[in-house]
Amino acid sequence: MVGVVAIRTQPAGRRWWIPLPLFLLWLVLLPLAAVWLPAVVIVSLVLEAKPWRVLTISWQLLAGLRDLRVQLAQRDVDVHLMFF
Amino acid sequence: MNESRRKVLEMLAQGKVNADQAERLIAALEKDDAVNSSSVATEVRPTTKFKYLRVLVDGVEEGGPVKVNVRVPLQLLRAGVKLASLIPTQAQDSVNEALRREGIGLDLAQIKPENLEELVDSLGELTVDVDVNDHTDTMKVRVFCE
Repeated sequence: MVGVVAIRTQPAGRRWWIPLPLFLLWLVLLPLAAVWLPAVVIVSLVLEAKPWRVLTISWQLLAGLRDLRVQLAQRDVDVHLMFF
Repeated sequence: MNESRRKVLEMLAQGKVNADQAERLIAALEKDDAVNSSSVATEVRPTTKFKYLRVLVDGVEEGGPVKVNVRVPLQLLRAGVKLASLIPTQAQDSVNEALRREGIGLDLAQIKPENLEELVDSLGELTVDVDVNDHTDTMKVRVFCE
């Protein structure tokens, strides 16, 4: 999954594309799973939530970002947020 | 065998109609059945599976044109509403109390995952069109599923 933030400052001006390679997030998170997984479990138990449910909903939220599009334009500023 | 056809056969057995008349009556009944079933088929609306919730805002304010174009996958909404089930019970009580103060008698503990699924599914039938025309501002808001 890749996210992109595109910002255009003028109607005919230059557009900046800022790619957010979300798939690389896993490369960072996976080696640290031994650290953050127990932390998630402990926090879930403290909050009286089921850890497995917390993980599945988190995964569904991340997967649900695909195809999300947000465009905000006002005056000379045009901001796009896209997830592919 | 339906009731009408049985009556025709009974009339034939009792000698009220002959075989030729009975055959024509049954043929007429079959024709009626075919017309009825085809009209029922045309009344059935095709079920469209919506994938996105769209929010479009198009308007002009004092500072210039304003445009908002949001496309939210319903899958993300589904996952989002499931978050409500993760709210701790203490927090649920606080939320319920706050809702009650605002006149909304909603109990978060009573919301089941099936209800949330129904809620998101029913968004498919949602269409909101709002037109605002002020002295200086005009705004058109559309919310729908596609």
